[in-house]
Amino acid sequence: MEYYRWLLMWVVVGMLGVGGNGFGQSLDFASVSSLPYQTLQGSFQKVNDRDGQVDSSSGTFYVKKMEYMYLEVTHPIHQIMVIEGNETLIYYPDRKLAFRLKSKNPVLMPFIPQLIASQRADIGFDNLGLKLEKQEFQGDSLISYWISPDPEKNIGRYQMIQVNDLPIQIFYVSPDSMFASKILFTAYRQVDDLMLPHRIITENVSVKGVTIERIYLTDLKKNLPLPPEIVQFDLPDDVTVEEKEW
Amino acid sequence: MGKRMGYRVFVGILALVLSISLVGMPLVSNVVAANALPQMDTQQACADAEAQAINDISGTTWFLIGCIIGVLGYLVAIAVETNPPASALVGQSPEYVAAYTDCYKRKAKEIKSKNALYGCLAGTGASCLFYLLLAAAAGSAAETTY
Repeated sequence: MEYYRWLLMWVVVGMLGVGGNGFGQSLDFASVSSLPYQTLQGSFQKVNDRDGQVDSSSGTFYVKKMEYMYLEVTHPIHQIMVIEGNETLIYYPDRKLAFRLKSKNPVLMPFIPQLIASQRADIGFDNLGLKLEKQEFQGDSLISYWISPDPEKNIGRYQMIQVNDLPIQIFYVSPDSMFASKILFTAYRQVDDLMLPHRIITENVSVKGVTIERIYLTDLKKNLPLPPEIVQFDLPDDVTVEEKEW
Repeated sequence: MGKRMGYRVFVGILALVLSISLVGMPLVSNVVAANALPQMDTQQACADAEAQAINDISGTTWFLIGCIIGVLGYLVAIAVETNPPASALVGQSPEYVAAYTDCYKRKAKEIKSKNALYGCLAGTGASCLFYLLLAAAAGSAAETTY
């Protein structure tokens, strides 16, 4: 259950990049009752653009609920990342080197929370204690505006756009208007009984600059049994492991 | 004859030097570039980690914690760890990962402890001011009574 709380916190606080504004901690996070999958696997490409400086990575991933993630990067470097509970293992087979990162809190998995959030009608705002201020239709788009239930508490402006009940855009502006974030969920395709976005673009704009993260997903498959070598991944004996604590 | 021999030796040495330059320089520059790459990775990792830490951690919250619970808040700020999303490390080199984790941890601790300390000082200052005003008020009340 703890994972779901962290998931929700990530969705609205982390993904929107508003943790620095400090209101995230004060919100009462409710838990998500169920996940839309048991396992999920597919290929990904992640492109980061920091003020015009672009780098990309690609590979495959396997997820078991929100408990375990195996992610293998094949470009630009061969890297295997295994996330389980409070621990992240990052292994470089070509260098026979690995890092074991231990955290005090459950580790937030790359791009999985966005996928899950896209399956929720309110993206998780309601669970975070936000109140629906108003809704309006513009063409086939339903635009909803979310605020703090406390009228004296300014936590910024949230806006969500849905088309055919699918969230396609979330927009956030901080109370001081110094930070804005936009997340686009596009290229929805059927995966088993789910409609999952295959392209997730996050744009953050602040006084420090603009960062854009583009996630492209392909070959998504739901509830297939994960290969045993993925589920029970063990480091070879000749690997040097460096332990780090966050 | 000797002059011609000298010329040939000179041309030979020149050819050797040029060959070494042409073949060797790219190798040398590749080695230099290979050494510079982790250095660049490290600098970029640190910059990214610091930006992420600033984004993740609320200075205001830690200021308030310091203000409310004083020295204890400062100690908590030093002890409490924050972890960023793992996505920042996807596809990054070992040098980047090592630098990122270290720089993030350092910056996070710095933001928390600095703000908690300022909060602690502000809280202490406010308390002192409050007691001074209280004492002054009590003093003036006593003078009025007499």
